[in-house]
Amino acid sequence: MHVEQKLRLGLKNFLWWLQEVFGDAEYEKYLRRASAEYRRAQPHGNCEHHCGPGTVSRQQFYLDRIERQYARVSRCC
Amino acid sequence: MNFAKKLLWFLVAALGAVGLALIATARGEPINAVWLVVASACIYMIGYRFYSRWVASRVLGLDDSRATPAERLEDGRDFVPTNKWVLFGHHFSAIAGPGPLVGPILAAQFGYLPGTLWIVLGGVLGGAIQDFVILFASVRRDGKSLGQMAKEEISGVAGVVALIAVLSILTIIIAVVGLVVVNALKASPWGLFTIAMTIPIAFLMGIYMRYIRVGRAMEASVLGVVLVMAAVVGGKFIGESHTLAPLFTFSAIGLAWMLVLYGFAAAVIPVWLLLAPRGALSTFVKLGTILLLAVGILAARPTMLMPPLTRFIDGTGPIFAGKIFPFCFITIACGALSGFHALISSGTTPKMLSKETQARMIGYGSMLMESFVAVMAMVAACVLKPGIYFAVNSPAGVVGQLPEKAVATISNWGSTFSVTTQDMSELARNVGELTLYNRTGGAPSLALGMAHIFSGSLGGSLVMGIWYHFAIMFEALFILTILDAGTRVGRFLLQDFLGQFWKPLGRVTWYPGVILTSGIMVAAWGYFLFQGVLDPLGGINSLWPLFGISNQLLAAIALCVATTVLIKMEKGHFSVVTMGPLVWLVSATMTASFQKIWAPDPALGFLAHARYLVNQIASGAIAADKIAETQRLIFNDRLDAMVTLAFASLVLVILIESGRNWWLYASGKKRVVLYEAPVELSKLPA
Repeated sequence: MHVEQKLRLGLKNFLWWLQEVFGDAEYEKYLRRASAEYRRAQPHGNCEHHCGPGTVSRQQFYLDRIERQYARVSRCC
Repeated sequence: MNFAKKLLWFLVAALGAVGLALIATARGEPINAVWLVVASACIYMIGYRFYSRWVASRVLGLDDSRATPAERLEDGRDFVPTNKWVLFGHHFSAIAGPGPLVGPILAAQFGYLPGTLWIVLGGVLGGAIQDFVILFASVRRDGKSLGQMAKEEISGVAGVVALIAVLSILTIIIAVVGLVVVNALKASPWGLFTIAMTIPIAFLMGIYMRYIRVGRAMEASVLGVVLVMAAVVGGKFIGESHTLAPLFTFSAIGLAWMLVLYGFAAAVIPVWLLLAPRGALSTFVKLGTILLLAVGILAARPTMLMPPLTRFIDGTGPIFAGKIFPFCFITIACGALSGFHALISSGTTPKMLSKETQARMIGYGSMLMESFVAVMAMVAACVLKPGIYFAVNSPAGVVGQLPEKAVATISNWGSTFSVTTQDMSELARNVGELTLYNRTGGAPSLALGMAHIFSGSLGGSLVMGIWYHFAIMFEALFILTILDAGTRVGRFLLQDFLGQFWKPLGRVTWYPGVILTSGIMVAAWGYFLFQGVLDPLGGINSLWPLFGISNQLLAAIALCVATTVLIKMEKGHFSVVTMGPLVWLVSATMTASFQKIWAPDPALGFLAHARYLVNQIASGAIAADKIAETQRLIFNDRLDAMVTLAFASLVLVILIESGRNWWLYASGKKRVVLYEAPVELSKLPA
């Protein structure tokens, strides 16, 4: 692998890491999990638009997540 | 281990030993800061590679075939198996706050050597072990909190002590970090403008993350950083404007009121509008600045002008009174051994760990990284001329109000400390401040050190003001994040507690309850903040040791829980791993508590200071219009003595409770019950 490719890969990994640390992809992960659960429960169901009764909107998911985060000690001195 | 690896580790050890020998034996000749960084890095590497590995395999017996709570209880919300590097980032940004920056700056009054040795050795042998073992214990107990573990593994009394300790430390820490911000921003229009702008910037980010690109915290943070940098640069023009500068120029009292109002508002307004965006911004700036500081030190390779030991090891320091033992070990908590970390290690992190063995990298490794940040803060303080460092950090009550008096007092301490009014005026002018005298609290001297390092490798003295205010913004952002998030958490804890007596108070959606509990929390830390602001000795002398003692109270609980867990796991023969740091910590905390309460020196002992003021009033040395103020100082001294006594008593309670249980287990009089979650085999790939 060339140095340029290595650098590009390193930068890509770093950006992925930052996004994960900031939780930008949390909702997508939540949907994937809900979809997998739905498929397990209903092998013939279609999860493109609806993944079961527990799925919430992106906005609701975000609000729930930060409410939980800031209701407990999440930052140290 | 093959020969090449053995040779490599031998070279790391040799380099660390050479670095350590250099920094420990340098006398008279300034050394380069790189040696401090190299010696620390080598010790961390050896500690991580050998000590933590031994603890992981022999003492704790980490087992990857055992499913973690993140796998067993996965719910996509709290319990989520997470990539170890991502979790490392989460955990590190949660544990690293202003503590590892401010503590070393204050402890630099003893010289760089005592603080650095404590940071490095305390981190490797104490702090990292505490974080690691508590994380492990919590993982084995479905992510239970420190309080729950103390209650189950030690006793119900220990659980109550843990709750009191958490509330106390929240109160004291918010007050003390608030004081640091107040002292950094008083009479500083440039600084205040920059920090004030972070509030509307946070609102903008909040709206972006709530309505425009929902949940995209990184994108919003990039936008926030650009705007904050614009505010740092724009602040220069505010500071120089005759019309606008007065609008952003406030006394310490005015700033303290602003902080109180801010804390109250942050606790009651929706979390998406202020706390979440500010938290994201703080994390972004924190990671970037720490990296920048490391690169800056390596690029600038500054010389340490502070001697390894100063004359103040005898306890007569102007920043805070007291000898190296115990006060160096109380002053530097975060960065070496901090009980507060145990709350994070038993909070969200154990619920996200994919494999048990990752607890070593997350728990032990993150703490070493924080310890390294503390070493860099020590470097930043010690690259300043000692005279300047003391002129900035010494309170007016000790060195004098007038610049001429302050520099004369400091220069009289010896040639090492010589400083002139011209030095101070030129420095203040270079960084765009009106004055840098009596800026107690550590933040301005850290900012000066960072500005010195950054401008040394990037931009030169022309941009020193920008770097100084960037560093002030970076610290204040950290601190305000603690202040707003801490007030809100305190509110929840209070609601939880008061809800047991009257149900509506426990409901987090009942507005009168929200207002009342937020008000109680803000009043509690606000009282101590005003106490610090009004203290003629600068406030740090009384409040920082209180913070250190309360933090180490929490560490005592954590290490007692950790030791109890080891004994119950039939690993009592290894309990020295946690008992060693516990003995050291209790010795330092109890000695410091005793001295802060009963030392006969008024500069050190709270009661002696109260007696001194009583005698001053009785002898007529206090003017009639100052008597009410003096009586308030007397009350505050007695209150601080009571609070210290309460903390020390709680340490004793937890020790007696734990010791009693250890003896009962050892003598077979009490059946050992380990409250671990049931074992389930992991299905996650290694």
